[in-house]
Amino acid sequence: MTTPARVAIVTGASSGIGEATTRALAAQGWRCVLVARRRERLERLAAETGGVAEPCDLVDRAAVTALGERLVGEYGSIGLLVNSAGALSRGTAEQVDLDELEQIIRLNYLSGVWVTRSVLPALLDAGREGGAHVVNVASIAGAIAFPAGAAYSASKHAQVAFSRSLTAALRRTGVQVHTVLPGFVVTEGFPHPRFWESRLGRRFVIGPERVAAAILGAIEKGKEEVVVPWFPYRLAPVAEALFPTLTTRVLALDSYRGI
Amino acid sequence: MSRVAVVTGASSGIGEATARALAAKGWHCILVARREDRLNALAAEIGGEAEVCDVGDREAVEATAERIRARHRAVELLVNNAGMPARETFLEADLDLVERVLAVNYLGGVWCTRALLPALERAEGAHVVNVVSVAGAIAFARSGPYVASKHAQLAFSRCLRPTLSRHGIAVHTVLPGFVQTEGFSQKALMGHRRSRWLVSDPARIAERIVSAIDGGKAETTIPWFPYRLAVAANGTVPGVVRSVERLFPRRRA
Repeated sequence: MTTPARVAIVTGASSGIGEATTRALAAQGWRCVLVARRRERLERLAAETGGVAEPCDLVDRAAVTALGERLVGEYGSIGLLVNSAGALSRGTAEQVDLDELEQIIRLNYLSGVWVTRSVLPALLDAGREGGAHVVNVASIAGAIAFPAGAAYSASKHAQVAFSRSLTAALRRTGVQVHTVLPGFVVTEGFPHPRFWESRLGRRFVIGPERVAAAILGAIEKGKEEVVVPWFPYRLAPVAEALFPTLTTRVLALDSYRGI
Repeated sequence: MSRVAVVTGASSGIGEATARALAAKGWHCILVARREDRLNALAAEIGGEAEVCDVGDREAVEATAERIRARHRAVELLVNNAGMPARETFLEADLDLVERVLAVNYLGGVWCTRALLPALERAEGAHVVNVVSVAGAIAFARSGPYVASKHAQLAFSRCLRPTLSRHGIAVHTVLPGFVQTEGFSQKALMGHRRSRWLVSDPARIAERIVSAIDGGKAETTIPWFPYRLAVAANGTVPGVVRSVERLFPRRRA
């Protein structure tokens, strides 16, 4: 008798890091439940990876909660949740549209809270049975403030705080939380302008597959926090913690305004 | 003519103490908060104006800012101080509270800043003070939703400084440690000798806010010891400070 495949929920699975993570998980035998807005994309990926498509607008709390509760009923035990849904918002604190600012923090921070809370019983069940994992795909902008993307930085800071706080709250429950902070990753939702296409810029940019590999590595090795790629991004939060004003000023220089 | 300061969350705690300290230095304070009776009493005492407003309500903030701009051509200082606690972990916190705390502690400050920006720009050299918290840099398990809202506020405040400096507006980020106020009771910490020294009083924070403005300080942690060290350590090795959290006396609900 074969054991049934463990169930993983991946949000933002229709493209980018979510899609790459789904493929990597399916290759390791996970049965993936794909959550995002775009139905056709999800269904195509679900067919390809042997998973299930669950279209949902993640900024709608009632829809998220209803979906989560249904998934708990359907699967009982959920071994992995990857909160990967997110969007970019460009603009300084002075320019950014206030509706966009609210929307971006709903998607990048609150939606992860809602999904996690709604499937928590199934995660705790899996935790008791041998271990479960929550992966929050944040950004290095969650650990260091980028003035050119003020609303984005704030939303990702909130998400990182949620992830770290959750790590501590779930200790000794068998549910491990992993915070993944990618640097610049080129995806459909996060196109990067000029500087990152220059010969120097390209050294700092990676593809979503690298992040997916880092997520699987973090789960396997039980790492709480991963910055990918390590260099130079891991150094940034250290610089900010020690010299916050100087660091933000450097990041506000015009040459860095391309994020 | 005295300079105009807008202080949010002025009905108690750090906001009230800051309004008093500013008035003592000759500022004309516009006090913003929800409790009208408190604001009126303080306004009468320090010679300021009261504006009843819930900073977690965007329309209310915009209407209030419009009234202030109609009465005062320029505003020299905005102190984004209004804030509320949320002391549960992310496992048990009510989801409405998670949103409310985010609106009051993060969005409210954004809305106030943006709505008053035209008046701040008209002043010759203005200041914005964001009263964050050490919880903006260190993620504790308890107070999860509060910690997340303060992280967002800290990031926004740091982003705001280089952006507004182009308009001659200086942004100051203030990170108080534990402070005993009406809204944020520190009874559990105050009850033990090993943790009592971590708690300061609002007058001390107010004094440091005033000196941050006068001294042009970008970021101030109050008191410096041990909180500045904790922030630096946590940024370098995330989680290192959190591991001390369980040694703190627990708050009783």
